[in-house]
Amino acid sequence: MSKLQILTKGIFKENPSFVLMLGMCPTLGTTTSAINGMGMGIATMFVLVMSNIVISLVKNLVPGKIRIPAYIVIIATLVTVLQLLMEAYVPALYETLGVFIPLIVVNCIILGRAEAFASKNNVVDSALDGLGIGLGFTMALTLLGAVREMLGAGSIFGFKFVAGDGILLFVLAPGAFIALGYLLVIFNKLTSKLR
Amino acid sequence: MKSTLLNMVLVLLGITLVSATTLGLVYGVTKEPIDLSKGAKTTNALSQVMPPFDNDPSTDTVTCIIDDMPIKVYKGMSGETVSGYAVETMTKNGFSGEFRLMVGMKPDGEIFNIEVLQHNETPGLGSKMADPDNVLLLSFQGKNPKNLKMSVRKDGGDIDVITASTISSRAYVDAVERAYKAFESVALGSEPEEDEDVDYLAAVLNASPTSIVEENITIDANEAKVIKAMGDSTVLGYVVDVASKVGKGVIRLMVGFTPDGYISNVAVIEHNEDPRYGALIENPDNATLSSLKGTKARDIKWSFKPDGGTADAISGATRTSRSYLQSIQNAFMFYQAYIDSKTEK
Amino acid sequence: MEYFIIIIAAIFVNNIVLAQFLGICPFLGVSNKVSTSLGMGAAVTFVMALASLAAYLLQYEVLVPLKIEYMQTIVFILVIATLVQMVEIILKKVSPALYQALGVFLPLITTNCAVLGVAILLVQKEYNLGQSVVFSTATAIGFTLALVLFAGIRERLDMEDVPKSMKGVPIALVSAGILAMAFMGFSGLV
Repeated sequence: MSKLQILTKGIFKENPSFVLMLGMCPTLGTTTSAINGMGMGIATMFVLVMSNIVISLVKNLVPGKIRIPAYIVIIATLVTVLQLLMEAYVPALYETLGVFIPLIVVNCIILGRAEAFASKNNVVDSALDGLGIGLGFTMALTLLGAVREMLGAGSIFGFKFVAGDGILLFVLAPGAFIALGYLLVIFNKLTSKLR
Repeated sequence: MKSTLLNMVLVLLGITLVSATTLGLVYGVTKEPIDLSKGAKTTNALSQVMPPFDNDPSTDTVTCIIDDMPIKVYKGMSGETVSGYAVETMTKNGFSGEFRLMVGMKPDGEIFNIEVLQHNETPGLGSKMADPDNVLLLSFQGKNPKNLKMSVRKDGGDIDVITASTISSRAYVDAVERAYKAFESVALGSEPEEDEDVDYLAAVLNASPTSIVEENITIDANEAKVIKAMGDSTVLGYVVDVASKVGKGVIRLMVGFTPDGYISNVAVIEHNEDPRYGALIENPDNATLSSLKGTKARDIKWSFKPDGGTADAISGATRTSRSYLQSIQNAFMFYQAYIDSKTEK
Repeated sequence: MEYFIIIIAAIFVNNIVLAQFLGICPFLGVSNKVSTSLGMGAAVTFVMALASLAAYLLQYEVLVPLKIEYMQTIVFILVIATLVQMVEIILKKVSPALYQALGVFLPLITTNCAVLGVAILLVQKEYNLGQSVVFSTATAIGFTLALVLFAGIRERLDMEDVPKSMKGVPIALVSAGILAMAFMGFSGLV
């Protein structure tokens, strides 16, 4: 696989949210607006790239039997670093994303990519894989956030284009499920047409 | 690497060490910005609701307990004169439970601005109370509650309601009313003026001393001030002023002892507990203090009643109560050391 | 009385899956049959209650006194991983039938964000020991409830005529949304 392919497969063919169906919790929980979805996506992408790099670097040093606990400690460390940095330098976003930041640890995408890719490939490829999947994830989250924000609050990235409110349901829990469901249908139809 | 026991243990140990070191480093680097941004948040909220001030209002606060809720009054100064007050108030009557407001007032009580600090009201309905220039805010802004009928129009009052959100609106008014009550007792009632410590002293001894003798005592690198308070030529009591490292940080308090070693009162001077829960220990009638007041300090079993101790925990704030209790015990330790050093002579 | 409110809130008003979006992966992945959902729910309840207990003790007896609260994420996830390992070993010995039934879902509880989420939440809400245990058990019951209800719906959906593009996950998501809407009706309870 060429470097470019590694990077771009995460965006369409192996999009974590629409195809692999991983990392659903933050996908539904943090997409109340486009900015929140994007913030969460970027935070997750940071951890994903870093963890892929680190795990790829140590893949030959870690005995097979303990690789899962070892990966978990590495990922948890990276997430805590992210937490501290966010609390210090972007406190508003840190408060909005709340409990979902430490929950990046159990985001199946990260452990999944570590097992599936980083533990078997070199550092550069692993970093690219992380970047690609991270971008796909961020894209999906931003898209879902944008849809929910437009329908639910009549704004996009904070920019109000409707006077008053939208269909409030979409910024609440049920709306997340429904919006994602229909986005998935659209995504599937688009990708099947492209093939 | 082969999965031998030695390898596995070594690698796991190694990873954990590196991880712990990295975290310690990053924590050290980010601690200051984090503390700064937390402080900035409060000051920012305050400056949005109050007339301009040049002091740090979070160091000049009084917490009143009204209807069992901690209501914190911040004083803003401009030079030597009071520029305004901000009251952190709350209500339990919201549609989705409790929510908190910050009500800013001019020195005479006229409402300057109101910010919603935290709420769970329904988006698009009750949540409108957090929007700029909403009808609730406009009903209050620039008006003095003492001239207003503090209820919604539906109930015969002067405050406009947010459409279809009567419950949220009523709760909002409830919170503002509570804020005004706190303002009244702090700004218009009696409050410690000059030397705060002297007034704490009197409050803790339940008597005003005519003279005091101070002594610093050090135990294991911890220091406390023991004050012997005299009324004319009799000993009124002893007060220990100590800052204890407990729980979430530090609690500084003054514990008053009668001449024969009974606890007369306790005043919390400083703490960094969570505002809502920790403020309950600032309440002079809190459960822990009430259970210890008037008891002989030497006979106190320093744990809570369920564990066979003498003290009551403050409901809903067990850990903070524990830290509070530990601080009082710490003060007693210094008192005991002081008394022992005097009787040895 | 206070415990009653915590229980009602955790199961209905703030249902961990339908209102707080934690535990979605097993929710979407395991819920196609009622029987597996019950088994998963039982396992999660067990792990969640124990994990919360351990988390509470570790937080207040170790992390806070040593002032290393920033190690919370790492410590909690390690505790959960260890607990799940232990549950697997014990279950294999005590009830091999149940162990077989749960199969691969047991180790997956480690990455169930609901378990880690509950541990973090009970520290955030400053619950004491009693409240923490009640809160986590009630939350797990809420999780099981959501899972079982949803499994029932999906079993019925399987027999219906669903448009091709919506078959599978999309229709499941929309149904979950409607179920979440129903649960919103509980918000007046407490």
